[in-house]
Amino acid sequence: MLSRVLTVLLLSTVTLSAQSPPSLNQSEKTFCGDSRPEVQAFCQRLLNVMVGVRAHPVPAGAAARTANKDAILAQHGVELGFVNPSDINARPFVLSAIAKDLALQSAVASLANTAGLLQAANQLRTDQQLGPTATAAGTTSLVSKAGSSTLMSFGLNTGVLTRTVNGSTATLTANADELFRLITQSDEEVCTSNCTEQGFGHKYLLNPLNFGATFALAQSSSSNIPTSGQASGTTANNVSTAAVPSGAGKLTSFTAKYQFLNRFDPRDSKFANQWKTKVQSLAPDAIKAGNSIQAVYEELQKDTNFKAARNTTDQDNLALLYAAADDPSGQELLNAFESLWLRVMQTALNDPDIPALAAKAMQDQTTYRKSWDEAVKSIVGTMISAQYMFNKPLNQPETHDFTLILAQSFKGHGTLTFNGAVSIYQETLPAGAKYGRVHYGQVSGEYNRNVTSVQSAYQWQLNLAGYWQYQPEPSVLNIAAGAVAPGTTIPLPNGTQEFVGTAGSLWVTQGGFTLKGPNGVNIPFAVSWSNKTDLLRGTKIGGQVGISYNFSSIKGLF
Amino acid sequence: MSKALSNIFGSTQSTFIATIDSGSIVQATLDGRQLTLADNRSVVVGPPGLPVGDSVIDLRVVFGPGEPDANIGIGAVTSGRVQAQVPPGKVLNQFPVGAIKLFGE
Repeated sequence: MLSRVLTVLLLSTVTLSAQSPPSLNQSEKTFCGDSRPEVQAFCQRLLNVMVGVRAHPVPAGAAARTANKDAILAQHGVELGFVNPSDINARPFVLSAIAKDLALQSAVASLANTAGLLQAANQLRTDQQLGPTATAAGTTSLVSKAGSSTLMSFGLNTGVLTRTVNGSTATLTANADELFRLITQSDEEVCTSNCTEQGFGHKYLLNPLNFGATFALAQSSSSNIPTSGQASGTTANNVSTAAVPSGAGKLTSFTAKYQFLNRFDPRDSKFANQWKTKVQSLAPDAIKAGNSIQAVYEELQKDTNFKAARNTTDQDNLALLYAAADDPSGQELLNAFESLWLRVMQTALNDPDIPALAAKAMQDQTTYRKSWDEAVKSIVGTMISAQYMFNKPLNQPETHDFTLILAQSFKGHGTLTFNGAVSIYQETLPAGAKYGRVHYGQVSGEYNRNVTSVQSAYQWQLNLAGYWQYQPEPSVLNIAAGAVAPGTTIPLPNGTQEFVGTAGSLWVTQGGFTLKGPNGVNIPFAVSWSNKTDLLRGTKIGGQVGISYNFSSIKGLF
Repeated sequence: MSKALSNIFGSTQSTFIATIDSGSIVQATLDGRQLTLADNRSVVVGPPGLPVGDSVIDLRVVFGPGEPDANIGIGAVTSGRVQAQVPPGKVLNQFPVGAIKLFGE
């Protein structure tokens, strides 16, 4: 008896689960996880058709459907217009499907080399940090800026600000999100503005995160190896290890920076007014991107099958709708869509002009998307950036430097940036150390303003900066193992540490210009005055010069 | 396409203003003819007015962050008779392109 009851219960459960339609989340996973590029491109729109038939059920039976055909079409016309490939409203999704289908990534990427507008936008920015920060041995920048490169930048800098040892550095900086898209070839997002599909990881983890690595060009990296015996001399020197060069150039710092944007309410009247001023500047990009999408659509209309489908829109839309209504799992809708896609698009895609037109349209969409993002950021502003730097200065202990960066943009009147930082020694302090973990604390500020007209091909940016650093103890100098004690021939087998310079305040002021060229090339040059340097007493007047390249177009390499 | 799938329909040669309730229109064309913008959300369909059969107002639109998809409607009708579809057509907030599908009868 009990087994019969259990069997009935089990069968009832199975029957119920078989009858209940899948949730919309399950349908979304099925649609957007489909391997067919056209289904992927249209997946959200196909889902909207499923949502539509659940909200406004379509009558069952051929007679009822025929009698109410116009009413049914009018009721569901909005969502159907975005899934029928021959409909003008489906233009962006057709383009995305073509881009995916024809594996246009390389063509898109090479065309991205001409993304002149993005370069122009970067040219006007006064908040980008493209070189090393103040404490590097080769730097032109006294204050860390809140922003970073759009994709990747490479900079060569020479000159010192707080350091005693002059140097030349090469710095590579990159945005984590753009690098991820570059490596995974996932830049064919089906949207250009209000992209809600980009997900938590892109929006909150990768997009605000920037990396940088600085290499000292005048230093060679080295490895400590055991010696195998004294080669000359009459007195035993007892040197057991020696440093041998292992490469030219040495990593002197690694930086990770996270940007927190200001919170903003798009409905706020102040924001809305500022956005209005941006609409005019975005209009040329929007028109260009729109015209490119339309050019693809017009080219497709040259195909007989595509053109013929424009005369069967009603029947095709109804077929999609009835498939969605008749199968709650969505599988019939996918099949009907695939069948329609093949009929409408198969021969149209043989047009030899389509790949180039689609590549151009994708490039223009990408340019518009980046311009749109930049426009939003420029209004919202960076509330604060948090930066971590691992610093490996020459012959000094390694440090962890933590910096908070605040930036305030005054629109056409420049940007003011403030830094507050603390530097702590990395390693456990050696026995008998006469200094603590804190290396120094610093506050600094910089004002940057473009001083040439925005129409000018070359932008001159004025930079004025001030820096104050306080060290509780003098700087620590590492004397390497094997070095000879001063005034003697006695080697120091284990090395030692000595204080040099003075504790207390270090002041630096700097003034200069950055010349920003139209192709992403920046040339900063400046003069500075400091009351001392990290290792030496006495004032120092120095010069700094550099060159950096902002690779908005590195995608063309892949 | 048909009247049922159009966003705005009415008598041929009607002159009117087509509207969207979100985003900013930066360019609008009808059959290749540039249309005048009454404001950033209104397009003037002046003489010769609504074409016979199917036609499309091709829009270039800039949407601000957080602005929703735009609903298509009609403003002042200066001549003839036009009507907006129910439910209204939409312009998606994720693209710089949009279309207002017209049907003249």
